[in-house]
Amino acid sequence: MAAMDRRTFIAGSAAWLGCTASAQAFWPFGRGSEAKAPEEIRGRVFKGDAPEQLWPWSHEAYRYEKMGDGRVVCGVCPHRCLLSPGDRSVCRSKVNLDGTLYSLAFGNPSAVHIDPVEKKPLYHFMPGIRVYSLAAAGCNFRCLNCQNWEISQFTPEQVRHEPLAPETAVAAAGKEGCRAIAYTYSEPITFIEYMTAIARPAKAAGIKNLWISNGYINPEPLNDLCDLVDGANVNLKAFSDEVYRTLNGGRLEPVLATLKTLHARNVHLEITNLVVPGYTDDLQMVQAMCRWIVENLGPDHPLHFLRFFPQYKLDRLAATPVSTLERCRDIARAQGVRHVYLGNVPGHAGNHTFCHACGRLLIERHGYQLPQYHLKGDACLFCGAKIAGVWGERAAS
Amino acid sequence: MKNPTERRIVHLVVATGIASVVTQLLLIREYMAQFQGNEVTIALVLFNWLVLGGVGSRLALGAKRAAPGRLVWLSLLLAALGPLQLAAIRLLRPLVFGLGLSVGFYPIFAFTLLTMAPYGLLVGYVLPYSLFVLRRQVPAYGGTRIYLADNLGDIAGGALFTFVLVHWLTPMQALLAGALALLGATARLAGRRGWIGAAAVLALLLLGMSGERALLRPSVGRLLHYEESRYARLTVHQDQEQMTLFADGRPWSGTQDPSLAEQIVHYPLSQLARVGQVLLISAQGGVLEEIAKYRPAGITYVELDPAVARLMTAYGLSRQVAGLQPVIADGREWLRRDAQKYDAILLNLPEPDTFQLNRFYTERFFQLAAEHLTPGGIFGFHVEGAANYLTTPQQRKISCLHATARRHFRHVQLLPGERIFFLCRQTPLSLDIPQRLARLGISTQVVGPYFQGDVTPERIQALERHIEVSAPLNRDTRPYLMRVAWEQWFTKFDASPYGLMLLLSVALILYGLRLRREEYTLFSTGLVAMGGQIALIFAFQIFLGYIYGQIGMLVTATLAGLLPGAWLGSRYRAAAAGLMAADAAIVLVLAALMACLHWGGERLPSGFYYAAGFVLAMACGFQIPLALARLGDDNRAAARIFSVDLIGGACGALLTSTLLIPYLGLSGTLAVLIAAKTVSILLMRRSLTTGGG
Repeated sequence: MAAMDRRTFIAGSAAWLGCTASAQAFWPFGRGSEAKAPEEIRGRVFKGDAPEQLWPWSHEAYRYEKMGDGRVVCGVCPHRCLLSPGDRSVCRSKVNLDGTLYSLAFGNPSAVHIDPVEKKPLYHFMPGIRVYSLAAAGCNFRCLNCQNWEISQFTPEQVRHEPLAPETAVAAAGKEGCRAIAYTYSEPITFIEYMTAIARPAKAAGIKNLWISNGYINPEPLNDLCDLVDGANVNLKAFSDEVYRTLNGGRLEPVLATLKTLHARNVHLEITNLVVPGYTDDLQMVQAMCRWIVENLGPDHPLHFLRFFPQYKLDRLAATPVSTLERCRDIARAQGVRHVYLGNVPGHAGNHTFCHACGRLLIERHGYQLPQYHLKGDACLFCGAKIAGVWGERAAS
Repeated sequence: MKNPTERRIVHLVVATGIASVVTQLLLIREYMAQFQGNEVTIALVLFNWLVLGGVGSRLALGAKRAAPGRLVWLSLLLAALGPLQLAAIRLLRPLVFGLGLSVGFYPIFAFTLLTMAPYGLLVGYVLPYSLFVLRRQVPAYGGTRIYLADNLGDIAGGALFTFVLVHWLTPMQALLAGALALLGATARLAGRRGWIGAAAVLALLLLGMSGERALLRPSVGRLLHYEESRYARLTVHQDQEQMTLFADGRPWSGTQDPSLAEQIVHYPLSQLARVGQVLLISAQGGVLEEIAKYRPAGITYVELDPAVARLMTAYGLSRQVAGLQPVIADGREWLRRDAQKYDAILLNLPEPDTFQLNRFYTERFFQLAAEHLTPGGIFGFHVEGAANYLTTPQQRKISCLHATARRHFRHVQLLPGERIFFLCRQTPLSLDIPQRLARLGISTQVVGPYFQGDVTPERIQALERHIEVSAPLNRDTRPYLMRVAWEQWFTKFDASPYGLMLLLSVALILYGLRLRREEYTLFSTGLVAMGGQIALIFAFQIFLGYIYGQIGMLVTATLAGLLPGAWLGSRYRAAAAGLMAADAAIVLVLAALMACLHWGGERLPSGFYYAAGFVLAMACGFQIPLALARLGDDNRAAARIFSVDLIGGACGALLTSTLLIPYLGLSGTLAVLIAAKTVSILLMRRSLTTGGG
């Protein structure tokens, strides 16, 4: 070992300290400061991560392009993963095997449950119905606060699943008395082949299809989906591209395009916005978002402001104060959004539906119970104003 | 010690020991507050600290012209680095990782290594450097004496921190207090220029003190309260009208979340026809008010940390209710000594991912709970679940808990959700909880209205399908759940510890191959001293409770044993035979400890642990002067020996905490430590017979 004198040593130690201070520049593990130097957390293609051979739940992917040299480009979401043979997509669900793109999430949901439709949340879609809800592994986002990270941040091979053929899923939903099937929990865009394979026979059987999504999808597959989907809840995570890049690993613009398409195609649409302290609770941003919604989608799409609770990796933050949500609601109403809800706040009046015309209580929600229901068809029982939504045949109370 | 310079340098070494131990303990607490507060974090911090110290000692070999003047500047730098390092950790944490984010194993490892590197390297460098300076004054100065002086400082620093500083001072204040002796000793050694330097460093330390709160200011909301309790960093943040109590940087309880409190209370209590006495082990905000809805005859609320109980009341997270009897104690220890029977015992603690917390999820604790219930009484607890899908480690966790609870309760019912609730009872349980609440006239915001959608029969069945009936039990001395909790932690961050473990194993083998026999003996001594100390603390917590002062006593007793051991060793002439004899003594002590813990368990008094720690450390300390004598006690030998001892300690810390205890249990851990020392005996025996070294 070369001799080291005191000066060298002190200089070395100072260099260490300097290294720690500048570690942010080359830090391989974390993200940057929320405000000053955000680091994009967009997912990356998993090179050489595809399995050697296909498994029973493989299906040739939908909407992809062969490049002619063995590489393929997935066309489903804006990531447009360019995959060489043996690679796996950002969403972890698709692999290139010998120049063909396959989905590994077809007929193997990792979560199947029956939920109230209000849990999605969809408040203007046949209130009170039970929904057959399923998810396969994978997601094209990397949200640091994901509520379903146990499914969304793993490959289909890494999670337990149960075989469920599309026709069997439809039959099971019918048998359980579910009026709708929801593609939910993780990100259905990543198992779009499986989703559409279920949605077609479901539609034929009179069962509604509900798409609960981050909306990060390309226009062509979205248009195809619109032919099958009856209702959608799109999670507009923030009205800031920077937050999208640093908190979720996506971009804002494609999500806005999705909202416009769903609106144009007359799919019942509700929007969710999770208010995360320090990330998405900027009231000016909320105001801009609500203005955009009213200008581009109109005032009728219900908007849900959800209360954040510590989740997944974002677990060193306090929950959102209820008054912050109330301010968001006031801003949205002031911008002209007619139906604004506060989610994850039990017992709050922000769970109820009020008539935008006369202001009377139309639907009282007490958890998943609906003690008061004052709609006749799609109209306010008191003033007759038309309330946007898909209301079904529920009788007024 | 006739030479005043010599005396002053020895004082400086003692003072360095005091300051460095105080800084080390503060750093451990700081990293626990900044990251996950489990044993992995503590082991990583200790590992990094000791390895850096070892590397620093080795670097000292390259020092030229050791002189008192340079030692003065190095010592001043050491004192100044404390507050700088603490400030750097607090400032860099959010900058590097982002607002509100937890991070996994490798980022913690890299961050702790980088941020403690300046101090860790320097403190390792200073000890042999001090010896070199002394030898320029007194050429025959023994390495053992400097080791003794350092140990004396370590013991004093440990005791000062444990019994004084932690109770009354914030970290920056404690750094200043810990550095005072070092500044004084430095100034005395250097004269006038030294006093000026010491004054400048003192000013820096005072600046750190004044910036304490500013460094902890949250990015969201404002800091209402900050204090360092004996067990955690407690802060209360206010955001709009909401108050949140944070423990070590994670939200513990808030004023606006009725849902957890309702579930904790109403799932179990709604099962009872009449609620008499309730034992609550720790509490979330709102729990007491929910219990009060049943008008119980009494509520015994046991909280380990008096500061938590005080802040919960002070900031409106918890209200006084009729019949409340607050008790500040370790919940398990309280239950062990308590003769009262309860209609309900509600356990409300974080995940079992530390030695301290695991004790509340073991077969023995469940047995204690069962023994303290009235006929028909209920025991309820909850662990982290998942919204819609359980990962494999989560599945293992609930299976283990289910199997463990079933040993002492005839009926165990699991309720699914983001937290999974366990209801344990000898008589059947009912799932019509909303109807029961309605019959009792108890109104709720969450449990009643949301139960039918969140806790459906289909979801309950899905959860029950995931229970493996043959799951291992979680036992006190074999904490299976800690392994699972760590697996879960690694799963969450999509990381595996095996890469690092493999790398370290290879490095260790290469390092081991380069060691001389005497050096291996000292390496294994460092390993056993640290591993044995961790095993003793683990056993103490299991059998006697998590009692801060007594555990501090145990650490002090263990450190204190090194000193007389080293002193005795310096008077022993036959070095090789002495090393072997000490090895044999360590093996005997460990074997006796294993037998006593196995058969004695809860019957052993606290004095037993102090004595065991002291004797074990004494045997370890005995070997240092002998190894120095064997290797020639020149500068090179001294630096190598200090380094080997530290690196052995680093390996002991990491191995014992993260692998040996969770995977092999207490007896298995002690057996591995015995094996490490047996190898040392064999090597030394060979050395004696061949006459080699």
